[in-house]
Amino acid sequence: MDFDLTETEQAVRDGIRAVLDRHAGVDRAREVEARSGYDAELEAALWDAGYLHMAHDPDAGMVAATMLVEEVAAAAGSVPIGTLALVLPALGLDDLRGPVAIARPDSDAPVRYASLPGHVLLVDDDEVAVHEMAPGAVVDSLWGYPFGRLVPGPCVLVLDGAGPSALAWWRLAVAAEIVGAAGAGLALTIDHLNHRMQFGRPLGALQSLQHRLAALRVRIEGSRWLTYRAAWEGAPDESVLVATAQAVGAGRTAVRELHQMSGAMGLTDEYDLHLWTTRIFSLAAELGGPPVLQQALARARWEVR
Amino acid sequence: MEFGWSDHEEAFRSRVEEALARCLPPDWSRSATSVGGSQASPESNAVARALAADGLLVCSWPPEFGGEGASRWEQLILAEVMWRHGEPRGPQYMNVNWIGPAIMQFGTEEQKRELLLPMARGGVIWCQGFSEPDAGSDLAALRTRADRDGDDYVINGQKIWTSYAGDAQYCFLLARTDPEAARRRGISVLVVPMDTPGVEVRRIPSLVGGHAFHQVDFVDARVPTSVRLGEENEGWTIVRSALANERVGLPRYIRASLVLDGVAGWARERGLLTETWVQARLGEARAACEAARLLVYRAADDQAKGRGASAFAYVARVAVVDAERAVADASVDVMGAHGLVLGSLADGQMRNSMGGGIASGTYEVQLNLIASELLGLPRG
Repeated sequence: MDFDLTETEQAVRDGIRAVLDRHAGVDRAREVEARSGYDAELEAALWDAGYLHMAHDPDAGMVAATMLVEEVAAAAGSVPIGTLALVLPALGLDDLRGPVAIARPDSDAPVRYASLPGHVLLVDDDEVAVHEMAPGAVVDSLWGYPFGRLVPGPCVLVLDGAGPSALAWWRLAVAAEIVGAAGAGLALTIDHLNHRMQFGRPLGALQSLQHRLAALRVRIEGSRWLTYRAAWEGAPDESVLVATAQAVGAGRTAVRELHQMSGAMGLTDEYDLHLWTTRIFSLAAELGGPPVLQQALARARWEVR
Repeated sequence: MEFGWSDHEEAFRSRVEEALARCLPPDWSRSATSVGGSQASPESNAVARALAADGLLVCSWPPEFGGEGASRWEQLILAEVMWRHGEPRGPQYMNVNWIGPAIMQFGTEEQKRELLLPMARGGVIWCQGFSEPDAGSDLAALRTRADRDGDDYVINGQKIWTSYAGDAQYCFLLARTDPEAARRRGISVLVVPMDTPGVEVRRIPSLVGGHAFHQVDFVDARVPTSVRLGEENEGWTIVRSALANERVGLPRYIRASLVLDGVAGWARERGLLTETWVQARLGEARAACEAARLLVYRAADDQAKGRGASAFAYVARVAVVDAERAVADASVDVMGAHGLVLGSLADGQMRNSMGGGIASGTYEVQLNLIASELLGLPRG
């Protein structure tokens, strides 16, 4: 066991942060949101710096790739980072660029990035089918991403037997994005509570808030290490489901609690909190919410058919 | 990052498992899921002696005191194996984890000779005389007095919730030796033999196991000043160091996980495990157990690297309590009224989890510490 970053991991994290300082952050997220909702420049910068190839680098590998997902989510980067950094490399699809959506083939719910031209990975229990995607009908939503209805175009590739692996890395990607976004939202909220004076003292001095913030930190921290462990293990089902169930639960709590503690200001577009919370909320719904993941975990753990 | 065990650590785990298989009596009665993970039992002294003979009881101690300097990770592995089998060391885990180390650090040569050897052989039970009726979370408010009288201290006062007091030979006692000094300054640690005249033990029946709670009264109990550990009035320093070791985090997630597996088995036998609500409840608790496990490992990693007690120790304790509660709640939901039967999985886990958030520093105190030390919020 070793919970410290290796030298490579440390260097990778520092490098990622340097790229994100230039190409991501809350101001950039707002700019992108006002246009397509997709940050092609950020994607290009990550490709150019080599961070989307890390999964195949024996020194970096899937743990470093998971760290990348967390960091991009924390910097409110507007790309499907989990799909780009974890799912595509796990499937060996290294040449796919641009908006990539991911969905179950029978999904009639809104899909992240499905309103944009690009590709979609359709993941079922057996195979992964890669389709070109014409821009689908835009779905009106305030929840952090460009959403569309799935309108798959021609199928360009079918990966037999890749469904389970794709699903596992997809789940893990969602967990890592939630961990990153929730950590950033928590940090913003703590800063606010340390400075917001009411009743002649900072709100952060109130024990009722301190206990809830501490409890939330414990849940995010647990989710973070479970996510890294699952990546380190190569995404076996049970380990991934533990991480995702925990992260999705923590994410839901984070959305509720951080907004409650940020008051009316926290609900405004002008304040940054929504840049993370709206995405957490979407991510937590994408795979079906806590009970669905908890059930899947129980079935994996106790071998229920 | 690295989430696997080394070959050396795996070998150590096997060695402990094998030793325990030899040491446990054939009619070993406590299961891993019993109430009160570390109760004294008639067999626990025998098991501790047998582990001592195998070199495992105090393997974490330095060689000069009979140990082999086992690493922090080996200590944790040992504790995991013990909890998997119902903690057959009984209360002696306290000797190993923090009382012995406190004596090594602060004791005189004579105290080390006299007190450490019996611990290392597995033949002695200690209790911890900390809490008082008016000093719980606020330990520094303690009022038990030890007044100097020539070469003796005369102890008067009352300790409460003291586990194992009925079986213990010694009490690791906190008493006020300078009533005039500020709260934390006038406290000393005394090693008090429990057969000292004037020491009275009364068992307090409770929900959390027959041997868990006692009241210990001290009425003019006279001990020589040579029983004092460390300098007079410097007890707070010793306690801080000792509690840092105590809070290492017992691997209570092991028991919670085993209870959960047991409840899943119970549900399967009754055809309930295919119910989606049952799966969701059990899955939620399973995730909480694994989060607790990793956060205990996270805290242990700091200790293994010699960084001392970090705020992650508090994170780990909160997560462990969360996991114990999640397992209890899921077990009670799934078993329904079957969980009311004494000794059933849900009954045991419910009662264990009720104590888990209180013993050795309450849940709320841990949250306070996380808020100030990790989140940088103002101290309340």
